[in-house]
Amino acid sequence: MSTYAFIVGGVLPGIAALTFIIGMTYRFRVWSRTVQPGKMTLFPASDNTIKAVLAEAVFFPGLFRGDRVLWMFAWIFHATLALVFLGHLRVFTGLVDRILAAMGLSADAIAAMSNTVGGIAGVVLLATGIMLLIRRVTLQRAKEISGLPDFFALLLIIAIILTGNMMRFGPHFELEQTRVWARSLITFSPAVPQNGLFLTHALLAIVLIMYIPFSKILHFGGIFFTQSLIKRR
Amino acid sequence: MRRKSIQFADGKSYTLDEHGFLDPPEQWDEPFAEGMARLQGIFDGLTEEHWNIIRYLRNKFLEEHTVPVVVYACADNNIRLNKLKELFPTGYHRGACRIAGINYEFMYNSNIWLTYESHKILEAEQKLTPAGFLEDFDQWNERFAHLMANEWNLPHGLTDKHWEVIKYLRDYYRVHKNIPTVYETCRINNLSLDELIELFPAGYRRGACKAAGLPFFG
Amino acid sequence: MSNKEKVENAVAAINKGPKALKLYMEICAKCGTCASVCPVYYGSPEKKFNPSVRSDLIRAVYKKQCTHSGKILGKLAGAREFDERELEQWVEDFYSCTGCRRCATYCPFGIDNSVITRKGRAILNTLGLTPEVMKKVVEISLKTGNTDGASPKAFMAAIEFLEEEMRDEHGVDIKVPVDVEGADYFYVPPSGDVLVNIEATTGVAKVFHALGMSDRWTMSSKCFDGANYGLFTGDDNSMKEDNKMYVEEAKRLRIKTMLMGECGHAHRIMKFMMEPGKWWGDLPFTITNCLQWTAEHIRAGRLQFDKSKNSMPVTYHDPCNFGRSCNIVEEPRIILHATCMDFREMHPNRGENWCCGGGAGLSAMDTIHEFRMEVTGKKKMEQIRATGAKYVAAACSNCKRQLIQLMEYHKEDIAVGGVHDMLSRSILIDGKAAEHVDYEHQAVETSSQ
Repeated sequence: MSTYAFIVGGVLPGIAALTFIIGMTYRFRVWSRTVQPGKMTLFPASDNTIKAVLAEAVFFPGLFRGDRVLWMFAWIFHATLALVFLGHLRVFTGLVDRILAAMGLSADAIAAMSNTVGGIAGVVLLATGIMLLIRRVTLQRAKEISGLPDFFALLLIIAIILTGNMMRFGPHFELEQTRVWARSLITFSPAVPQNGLFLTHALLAIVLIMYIPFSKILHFGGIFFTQSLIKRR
Repeated sequence: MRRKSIQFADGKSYTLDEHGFLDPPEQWDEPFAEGMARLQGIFDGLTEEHWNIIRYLRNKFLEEHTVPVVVYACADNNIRLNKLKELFPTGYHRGACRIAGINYEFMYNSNIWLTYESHKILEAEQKLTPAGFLEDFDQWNERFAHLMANEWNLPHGLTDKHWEVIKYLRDYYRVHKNIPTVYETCRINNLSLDELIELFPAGYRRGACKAAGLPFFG
Repeated sequence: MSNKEKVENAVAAINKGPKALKLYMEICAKCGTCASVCPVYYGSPEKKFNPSVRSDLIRAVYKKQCTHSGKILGKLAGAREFDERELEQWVEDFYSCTGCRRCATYCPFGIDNSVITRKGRAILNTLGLTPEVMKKVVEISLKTGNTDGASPKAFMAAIEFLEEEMRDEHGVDIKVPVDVEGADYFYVPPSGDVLVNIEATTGVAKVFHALGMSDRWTMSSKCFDGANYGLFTGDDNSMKEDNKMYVEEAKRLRIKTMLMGECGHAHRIMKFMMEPGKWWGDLPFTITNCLQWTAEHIRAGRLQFDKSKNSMPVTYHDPCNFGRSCNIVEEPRIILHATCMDFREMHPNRGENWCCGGGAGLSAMDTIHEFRMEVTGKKKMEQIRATGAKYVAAACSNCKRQLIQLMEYHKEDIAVGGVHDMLSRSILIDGKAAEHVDYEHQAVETSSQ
């Protein structure tokens, strides 16, 4: 095993996981402990805070009313991202497979479904990601507020999607290897797949995971805090 | 700041601030009040009732260095709000105070809420064509002529000579249902072409005929 | 301490709270939605008017001061060292936000840029950089209890005049009680509604009279102006000091209900900041708004109107503080529907309404008159024109000042006033609506003779 593969596949995942968990815990703790003198009111408001915050986090209704085009891209992007996240969970753990099997699907059917759904998701994700990037570069009001961190985050995610798609649509890559790899990580005896594309994909993903607690991608956690502060009383 | 200059009777000119208020206020004199009053829709000259309010405001302004809010001005002069509005159609602040020569900056600095008052924009009650001409010849009245003439910033407002021409145009149209040529109008009224244009700076058709309530044929 | 240190310390303090502000510093995704719903940016899509750019004035300094990434990566993380020369820009930019909170309604994360604006103004205030007008209004309020600087004696003269006007209109005595201890209701209008545009106050007085409750309410000769500019300058101390006068006066008068007038930010401070925040502990009285109070009596069918007195098309402008911050949206409509023949909605409305362009104290600043007319008020002007209304009712003195100037500037013959103004003109007292001597009509008739 090359040193590069060992570092990317054996050492960094642990560091990334630690950084992510500690970073996010720290963030959430600080956020929940920071004082807020009085609630803020913003109407129209629903009576049910939890329901409203969940609706906002899942469907972005505020954005829907404010900027419908962005809503379309953003919602498809985030929803597909969630789907792809589930897909990776399936690859690593096989848990989703077992649930689907229990529902009476054959192994072939599951694989076919994964290929179709995963394939479409990959393409959609890439397309919307690029659309968001184009929007950021061309739309005046977005362009003038975009800084390096914004482009960095977006380009990083697009790069991850791109390498992921290349693995699916490029030369055949045996998914079983990743399941073995994931299991090996838990036992601290890394068995890293020797595939250049896979290693790049993994490296980029690790960078992203470590970057989250220190960047604006925090918004996926912050939304629950800010939205619960307002609109309800 | 965009300042502008305005000229009233006797050829004396005054400088106004961007809001159309006299500035510096030392320029104020009675002819200014008369001239500005015409621009504020007071066409028949300032009456003693007007002068009472104007003198009151000037006294407050010069002696006490204040501008009373509208409610005090009414209470002190013992007149109703509606009466004040009738005396000064463009309002207390934009009408009365402007005529009294109180400058905007002073008013604003002494109380920002002073400008907090609706006023009527002077408009003809008659129906106008999109080009601003009177739709119905018979709807005409003198107030309409004043309002049309307002835009020309005439130093003395409409003079007897103006009224002569307007009266001639109306009589002619009533009989012939047509507009006399500009030469005919000059000849009958003993005017040179230049004198006519001086009287009606907006021109013959768009000035004199418009103020006389004649329609604009093509 | 230099100005630079003062600013940096003030920004660094955000780390300790309030929570909302701290979150706003950290989670903005820079999507630009705020700009697409902002009245200022709509009026002039320039970079400096983009709400996110304005908020970045503080956000970048915060990142430099409080975040590891900002300290290490600097510009790469969107952090920036504060430069004292920026202060001039700060004043201009933070006083070009109308604090309407429209961005918060549409932002996917609920980021309320008005909170950041207020923080920016608070910092400027500690440096003495608050615009002169604002400083003066706060100063006069604290000294005299009202933004007009009127003395109790002057107030009494105004009230006397009000009563005379009403006697003139209805032929009966309609009282405006002042300084009555033990009354049920304590009416706190903006002072403009007593001294300049009196119909809102005569409207309230007439409602009390029509209900036979003339002896159950009072005004105060010392505290007759709910306006509180501390909210706009970001100065919490003067905001609370001003507020305290009113709470103490209410306690002294032993009233049961504080009836706030047609003033959005005054109601918001009393009802949504002072009361729940328990600034002065538990209160021996409740707080409500005259719009809610009147609407309730209209709903119950206790008031009668002659709608023909208001035959022109009327529209309602939702003041941001009533619409978005206090949820008083249906009540003014109940009043206007009951008192006007032709009520028209402008769109969008209620909590989604566009700001008049004079919010957060801007309408008091004639130094930026042209900016307010051309930029911040642009959308409102279009909205109002689209309704074809001849009267715009706005339950807010700041909105009224801005709207009146807008109509004059854009040469629109549209009157601007309050909600109770419409009520005052049409309410039936002993079966009769107010009679106005039509001086103007008389004048026209004589001139055409």
